[in-house]
Amino acid sequence: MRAETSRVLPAVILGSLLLATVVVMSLLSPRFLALSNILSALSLAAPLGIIAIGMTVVILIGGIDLSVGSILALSTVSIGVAAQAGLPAWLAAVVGLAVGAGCGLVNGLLVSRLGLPSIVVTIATMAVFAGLALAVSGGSSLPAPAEFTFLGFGRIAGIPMPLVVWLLVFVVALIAISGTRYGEHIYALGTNPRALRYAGLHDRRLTASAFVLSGLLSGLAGLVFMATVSSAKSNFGQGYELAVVTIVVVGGAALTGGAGTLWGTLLATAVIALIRNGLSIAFVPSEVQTLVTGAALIVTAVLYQWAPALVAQLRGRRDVPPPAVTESVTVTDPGSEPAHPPAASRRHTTKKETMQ
Amino acid sequence: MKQPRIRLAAAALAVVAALGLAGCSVDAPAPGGGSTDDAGPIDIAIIPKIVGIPYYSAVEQGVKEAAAELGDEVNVIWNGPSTAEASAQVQIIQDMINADVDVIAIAANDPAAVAPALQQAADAGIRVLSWDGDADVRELFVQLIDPDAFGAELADQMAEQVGEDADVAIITSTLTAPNQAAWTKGIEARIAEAHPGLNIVTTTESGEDQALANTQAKDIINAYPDVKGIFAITTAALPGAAQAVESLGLAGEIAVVGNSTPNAIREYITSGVLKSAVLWNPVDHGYLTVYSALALANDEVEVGASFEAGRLGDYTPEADDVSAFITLSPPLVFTADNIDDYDF
Repeated sequence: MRAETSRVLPAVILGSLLLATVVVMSLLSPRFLALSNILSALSLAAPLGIIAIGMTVVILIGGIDLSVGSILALSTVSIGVAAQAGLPAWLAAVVGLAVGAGCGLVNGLLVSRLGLPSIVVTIATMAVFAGLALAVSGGSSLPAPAEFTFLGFGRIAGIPMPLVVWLLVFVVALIAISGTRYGEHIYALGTNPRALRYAGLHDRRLTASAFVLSGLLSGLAGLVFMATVSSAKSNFGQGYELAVVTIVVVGGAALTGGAGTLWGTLLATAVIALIRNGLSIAFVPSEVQTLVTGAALIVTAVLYQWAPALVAQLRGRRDVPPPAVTESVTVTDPGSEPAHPPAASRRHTTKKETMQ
Repeated sequence: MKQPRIRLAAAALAVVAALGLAGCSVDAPAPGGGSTDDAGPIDIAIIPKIVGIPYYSAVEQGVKEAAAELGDEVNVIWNGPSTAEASAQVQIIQDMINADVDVIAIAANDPAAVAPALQQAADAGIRVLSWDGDADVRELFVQLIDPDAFGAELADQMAEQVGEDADVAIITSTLTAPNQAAWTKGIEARIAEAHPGLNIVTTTESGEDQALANTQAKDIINAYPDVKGIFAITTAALPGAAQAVESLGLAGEIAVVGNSTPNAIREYITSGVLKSAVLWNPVDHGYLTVYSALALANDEVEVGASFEAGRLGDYTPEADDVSAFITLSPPLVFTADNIDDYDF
């Protein structure tokens, strides 16, 4: 597959999907395009969007984190208990974030040090963290500190705070992933972990860091969610793990690792939130809403699978020499080399061999 | 590697900008916060705890019946979450605010978690009522059943079947579940008042799990040979306990009373293991909720003043700590004589 196509394609697919969503939903309900509706729909998606950023990084390294919903729940009840014990609101919030990061560290160590598959580890910790959340809270609902009201309901320049937090996290993560060596190593780890190790990089630490990030962001999402519902309960975040994996996959990330972007995840979160909101505001029954979300996943999966071949075919007919690129991290300019796909793939293999 | 990603970023940014522009340009004619559009039907959003389980399908049946009777007067929207999780209901409430409905009627999964969203709805001029599961913010609570009357009915039935002097046990869902806790209190109060010879030897938890209730009923019967009756007070525990009594061949010797839906216990009523079961009528509950929502929208809900609810007759709201409440009906008792009249 040509790298340029594979990188631009998700943006084109998601852009079209977003546009289609907006057009269809505004036809279904005249109230859909009201700025207040779009803002509230996106604001409610903030916890999912924040978790999806961490999940993207985990999926980039070829892992998966199914414990995010339980981490969210454990963080919220920890904040609730801390606040009830008399801690100031900010400190209780820090406790929640620390609990999230700590849960992530547990996942990260189990995966990187013991070499267990992340799906197994996080299915187990999903149950463990949920059990802890239930034990800590006793199953009852805990009130959020009054200071959280601004985080849940405040606005900056007319933008709801949850959305502000989400976008801030996005910008920071985008800089870290697209603009630093850390980001390059994350992509490299998902593409060829062995090469990374031979290059003398700490692949275990890198792996653990992705899970810590996912845990921390799940904790932050818990904080934001808790503020919007003014309470904490051990069953918060139920089912979030699959919702978030859906978002990341719709966003164009490959579950095999190495491919995917934060932009894709951001757009996918918006698309899925707006589909749900648009159908709901048009009074479409919730059974149909679930069905449409599933259909959207299938449609995008089909597009990701078949569109590259289609594009290549169209290019071939027009006799434009397709640009040759490998998916290797070291390529500098995809447009500068002449087109020889077979040569490209041959070179790719050679490189792997020499590295091993 | 930098370049393609920048290109992708630019493409994505363009789409977001386009969306933003589209959003702003169409924003002007958007409706304001008020929900007093005089023309057209009254929009009533009814939010159950969850959709896709038989109990709420029975409620929906009553909702549809009332909506059909009221015709053009109302536009009833039935919109519930597919998971009983707090964020799902919060999203639906938010959507209904943005859809500018006139009334939100919610069966809250969590009274505290939905309160901020309901407050926003109230601030936007939407009338809010709760039904089934109460919420901290609402103008009216359409209560299923008076827990004291319900507990008393169960205790009276028990005394009728086991006599005034016997050991009994209770199988509940969880000790903290608000409904079951209130009913247990009602049972105990009635026993203290009218059946002092009944002695509750144990109270066990079975969640909403029929198989677990079955096991626990057997354990109770083995551990307490003098037990003559079991209160099974969840819709799953009643068939579970009846199953246990039947499989031990103790039908007629150990009485089981409690609440369940008719379809879940029909075979045990027919075979005589159960003499009776108590429940509210979920179809009527849905029906009453629609009429209550309409009355609320028409400013007819007032403590001490009655309003009309179609075939169910008149209801008079009573004051409580938050605002006001009405109670659906006296308990509905299923026996072998009438159980085939009900199908849910």
